[in-house]
Amino acid sequence: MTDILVVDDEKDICWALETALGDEGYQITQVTRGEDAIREVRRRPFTLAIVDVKLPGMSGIEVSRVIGQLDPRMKIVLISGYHYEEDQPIQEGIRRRMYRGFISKPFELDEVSALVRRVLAENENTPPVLEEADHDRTV
Amino acid sequence: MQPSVATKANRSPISRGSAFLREPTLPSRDGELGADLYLDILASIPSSILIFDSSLRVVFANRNFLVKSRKGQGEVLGKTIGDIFPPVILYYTNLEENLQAAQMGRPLDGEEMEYRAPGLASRVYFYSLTPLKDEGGRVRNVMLFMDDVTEKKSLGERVARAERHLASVVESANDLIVSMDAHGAVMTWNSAAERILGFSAPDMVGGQFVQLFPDAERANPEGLFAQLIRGGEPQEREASMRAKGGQELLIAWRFSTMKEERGQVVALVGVGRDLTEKRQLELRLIQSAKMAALGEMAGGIAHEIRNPLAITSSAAQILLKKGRDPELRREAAQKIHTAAGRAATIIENLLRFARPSEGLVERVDLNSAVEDTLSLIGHQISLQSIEIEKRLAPQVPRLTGNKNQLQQVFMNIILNAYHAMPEGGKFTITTRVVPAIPPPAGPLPGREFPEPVRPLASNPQSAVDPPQAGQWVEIRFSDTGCGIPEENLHRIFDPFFTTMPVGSGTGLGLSIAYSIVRQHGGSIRVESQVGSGSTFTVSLPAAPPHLVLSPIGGEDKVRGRT
Repeated sequence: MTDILVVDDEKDICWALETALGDEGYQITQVTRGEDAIREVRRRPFTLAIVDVKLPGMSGIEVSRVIGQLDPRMKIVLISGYHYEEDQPIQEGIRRRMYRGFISKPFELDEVSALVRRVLAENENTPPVLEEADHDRTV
Repeated sequence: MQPSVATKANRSPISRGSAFLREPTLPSRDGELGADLYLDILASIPSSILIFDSSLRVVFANRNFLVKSRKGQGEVLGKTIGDIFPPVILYYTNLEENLQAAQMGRPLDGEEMEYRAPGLASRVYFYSLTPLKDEGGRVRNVMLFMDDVTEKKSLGERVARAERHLASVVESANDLIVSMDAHGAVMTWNSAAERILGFSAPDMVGGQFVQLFPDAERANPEGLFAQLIRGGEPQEREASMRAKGGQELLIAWRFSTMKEERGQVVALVGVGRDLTEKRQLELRLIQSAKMAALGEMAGGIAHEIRNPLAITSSAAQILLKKGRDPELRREAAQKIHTAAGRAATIIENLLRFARPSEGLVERVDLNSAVEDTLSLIGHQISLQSIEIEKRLAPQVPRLTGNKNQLQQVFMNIILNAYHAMPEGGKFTITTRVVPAIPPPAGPLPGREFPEPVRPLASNPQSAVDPPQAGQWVEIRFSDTGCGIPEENLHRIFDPFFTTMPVGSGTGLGLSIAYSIVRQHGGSIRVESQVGSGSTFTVSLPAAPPHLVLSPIGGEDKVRGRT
């Protein structure tokens, strides 16, 4: 069973991701605050974390940094309605392989599933995978 | 004809300077004043006197006449009036005919003549002709008495000119200038008042000035005048006035008293300025500053809308894929509905905020004004890792004012805090009701803008939803940002003052906030410490006396001026 941690202060976004990814057979844990995410990661390992950049209090960037240090094997995908993946902090994180992908809101659930599959499949040597703005891209 | 001349001046020191052809008969009684004294009086009075005999020849000219006319005795004594005065004067004054009439016993009480002696500036004389009769009632002599009124006349002309000048100053003024008697009846009404309010001076003079105030405001000026007459200080008041066409104009008045020497009030003077145009410009400035603030917030608002969009889109995809599950179908449809409603609310708040304020005076729930403002900007703030804490008092009286403009005040203060906390922090918004005047600044160095004012009178219209007179609502915005250096503290409300890089801020936000709060009769206090943060406290009177809910517009949406 692949454990995925979803961190978004919008409960309904968590619900949508859980519904879509749950169908793919993943085990989803959802939290709405960065502090809760850190507590979850301290408690048990996750294969992947999907983290909203904008979170009340501690930002998604900061949360990613902390949980990445807590569990260096865990892969992190950012999700945001504010940033674009060409934004400097996102690009920088991807270049340094802190983030394996970026999802822009609103999103196609099929493409999120595809992105998650690819990120999980890639080994440490493959380059980071980005969700393409062009949704017609075949997977 | 050259008459023989005998001058009494040669023989009597007391009549020195006058000329006699022969001594006129002068009334005198033994044992009383002597003739010499009479002659001396005639000689020395500062008016000109000529005495004619029955053949209308000069028999006496006093000293003053000889000096003023620059004539020697020989040029006067024994001469006719035609020999002495230039023809043009005789022509215009009918002096010869009047002299003949006087000889017939008809005196001339007084007329003016202008006489110009050779080489001298012309002088104006007031003259009379008096028949001098003997005991039998026959006219023996005629006295021409001439008083030099040149100075008096020119003084009078100067006074008249000064009066005309003052009157035209009042008439040419662009401000309304009105005077009233102590009972408030209009005495003068200048042309600016005619032009601006449409009533002519004859329409107004004698009428009551307070008639021009709408009924709801009439109590205020009446009290104001009573106070003025009791000897109060000059009073300033913005009031809407009913113009001739029925429309209301906002006029800023300054009333003072006109007192006579003993300090008794004889009149009230009002100088008023039409604020309509100024207010329109202010509204336009407020609007542009608002648009600039909206520009700063655009990113945050976009994000705020993208979340419900993402939810709607995801839920629709789930519905399409797994719509056969009745439980999931219901859940997805519910989420689409909720998220669409959220997006609609954000857009509505945005549009409400963006549209120009019409200066409407309404009942404003301050808590909801704060919430609506946060719905637009709160997201952008928390995006910068700023934690927002709301401590809203549950029972805040709805205050009289303009919600749109008050939201703009909050928006500008919140944006200021946002820029003060680039590394994140804590932002606390507190609302509370204070019973009277807000207390002075706390222990931190602070400055209040402006000094709090005590409401002048309670507003009779506020009986509908009574915010208690004297109640104030306080909204406190505290940030943990960089703080404001002492030297900038007194400048932050100045227009165009900004510490942000060129292009980042207009420098208008806080000055607009100040101006709006001032128009609501309130004050803004700022306390700040570099490195620990700033607190802006907006204090608003629940029922500002000058913001009146007009009875025309009903209970909640009424015409007004902010």
